[in-house]
Amino acid sequence: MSQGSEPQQGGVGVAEPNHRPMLEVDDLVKHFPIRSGVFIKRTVGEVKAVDGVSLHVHKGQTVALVGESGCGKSTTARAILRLLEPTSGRVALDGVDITGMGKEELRKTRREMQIVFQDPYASLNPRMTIRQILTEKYQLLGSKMTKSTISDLLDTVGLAEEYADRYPHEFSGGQRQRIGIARAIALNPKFIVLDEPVSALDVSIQAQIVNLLEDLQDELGLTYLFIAHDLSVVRHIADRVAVMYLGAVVEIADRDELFDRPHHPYTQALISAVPIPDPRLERQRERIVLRGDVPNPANPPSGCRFRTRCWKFEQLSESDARRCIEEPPPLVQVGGNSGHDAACHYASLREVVRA
Amino acid sequence: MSSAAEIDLEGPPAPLLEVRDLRVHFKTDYGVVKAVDGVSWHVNEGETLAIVGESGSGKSVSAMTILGLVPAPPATFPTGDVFLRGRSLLKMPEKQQRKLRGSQIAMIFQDPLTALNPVFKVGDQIAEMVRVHQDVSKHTAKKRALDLLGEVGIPNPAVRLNQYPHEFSGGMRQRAMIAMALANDPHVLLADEPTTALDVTVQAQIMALLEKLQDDRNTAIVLITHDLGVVASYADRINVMYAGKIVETGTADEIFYQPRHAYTFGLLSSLPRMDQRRQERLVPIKGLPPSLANVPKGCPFHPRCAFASDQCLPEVPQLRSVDGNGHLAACVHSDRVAMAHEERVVQ
Repeated sequence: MSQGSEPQQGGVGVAEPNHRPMLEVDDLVKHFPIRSGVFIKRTVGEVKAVDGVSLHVHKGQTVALVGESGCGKSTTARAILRLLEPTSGRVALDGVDITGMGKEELRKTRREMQIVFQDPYASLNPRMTIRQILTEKYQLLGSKMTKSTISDLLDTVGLAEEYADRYPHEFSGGQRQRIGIARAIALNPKFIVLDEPVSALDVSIQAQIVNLLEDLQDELGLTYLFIAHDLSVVRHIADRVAVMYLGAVVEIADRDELFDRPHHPYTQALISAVPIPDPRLERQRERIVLRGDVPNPANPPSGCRFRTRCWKFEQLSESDARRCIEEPPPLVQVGGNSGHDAACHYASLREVVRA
Repeated sequence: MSSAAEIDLEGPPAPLLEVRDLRVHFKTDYGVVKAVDGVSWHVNEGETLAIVGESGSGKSVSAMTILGLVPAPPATFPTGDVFLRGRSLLKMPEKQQRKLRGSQIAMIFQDPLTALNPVFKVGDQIAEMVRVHQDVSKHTAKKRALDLLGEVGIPNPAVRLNQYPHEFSGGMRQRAMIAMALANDPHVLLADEPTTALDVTVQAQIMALLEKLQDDRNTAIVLITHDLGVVASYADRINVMYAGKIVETGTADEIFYQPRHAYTFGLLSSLPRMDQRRQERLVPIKGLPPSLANVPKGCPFHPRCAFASDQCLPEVPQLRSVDGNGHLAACVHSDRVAMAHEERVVQ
């Protein structure tokens, strides 16, 4: 589906380096104004939810966006789909600029880019049957249906046809998520945002949905942006991982490179905090425990945004530390590995998965 | 210790807290829901017992019952008792039970925002907890609340004391809840999904805090969770629950390295692992957990089980020792599960 063979820009993709990425995000910014006043609302500040995010996702690949709650990963995804209007930046899907599109044009493009939400119960209308929910999709986006469309679609996501005339409350969490996925793939999109699609599910069901998502990707050639906080699932499903902190990407690399050779102190802390279901390994592992909470994004720290919680910052000499306070670190290549970037003045390898 | 506890803690070496053959049933329009159906376990000082299971396995209800937090009706308790140092809790008059709740046994919940009262200052809520169980002045109670907030690692406790729950972040609220639970130096802490709503970095902080408090006070912790990673890192012993019953129990190493129940084996196999390069495919457990109003006959897990056979049907398998010791499993195919696990490890 990707057309043309222009040289790739940015150097953050993995496979098919000679093809244009399916999704290109360049310097995406989303600021929310903070208003104050009773009658006359004045803007007194801004929450910089997304502050200059660039990403490339190639066709058929999965890029995961990870980070703590409030880091801006969901806002980034919504701004990419223009469910939230970006403040600035450029997003292109299969070479077509989405950011400049008018309403009608955007509506037509919506069939190419879809989203699956975390809570399938909140995102399915409780008063509509599954058949109505799915039919609505075809009607809204102006696509033809045949008699077997709905049953084929349900079959694709592993649900029996007789479920079509039931209501969302009659399904379990895992089944509802299958319906959410059916709705997203209904119109053969090119690109799907998966916003924490398995976080609300029980362990034994999680694996079923992860496998389904992988099968669909293989069969339909789908491109995924996978938003998650569960790094174990990310290690399994992603090809490439971007770690976000306070609205910006602090490290990005291919999956195994990121987990085995993390360079940013935040990535290292995040990975080391995830408990591994292996008691003997856990007894040896040293956990990096960060202090405090994520700072208020309306008033981020100067220089490096992570420095207020950084374990490495605490070990620096006063003159070295000054650099972190004064100078925001750029996202640059680390570890002598193209495609592995980190935003830290003192980035260096620390193994944290097994150590 | 306050006089509230008329329980001889120096008594014979009975387990600190023991649950014996507990059944909690609910009458509903769909039939009797057997949320907890014949569960026995115990926990000792300084020990962490984990109760793992999926939603609807009955893991929370058993803990709530210990504290008398399950309203009856609709609940009925056909059998079972809870013993604190050998004395029955459920047969105790309500007034005496109340005294023990919060002083000897305390609980922390998954969602601290709903567990804290939004219209009272955090410090006042902790002080109230102190005054309910101890005969001290308001001033002393407030002072104690201040110390507790400091102990659980809340910065600026003097300021935080006079703030409301909504002014706290998620991690801070969970710390405040822990402070409240610790207000009367309980011997047992029931922690129901204490970190499920939190980010992993904050989870690491909270679990480190609980570990430290346990070391300092020799508290017994009953950790109720679905997260097998958390269990592997913090539990000494583990009960695996399925459809209202314990299906396997053993030390953390036994459960993770020698699972003998098909459900435990299935759970471990279905997990994606952060420390391993990509598995080809995850191995899910097929189907859905059963409705507790309509639990399958025989072994409740058999419709989803890869090892199921006719032997699973005639009766509900009982927990029996698989090593001649404390490692118990309720599975007729525990030998086949053992072999399957060995094969998986070799791969």
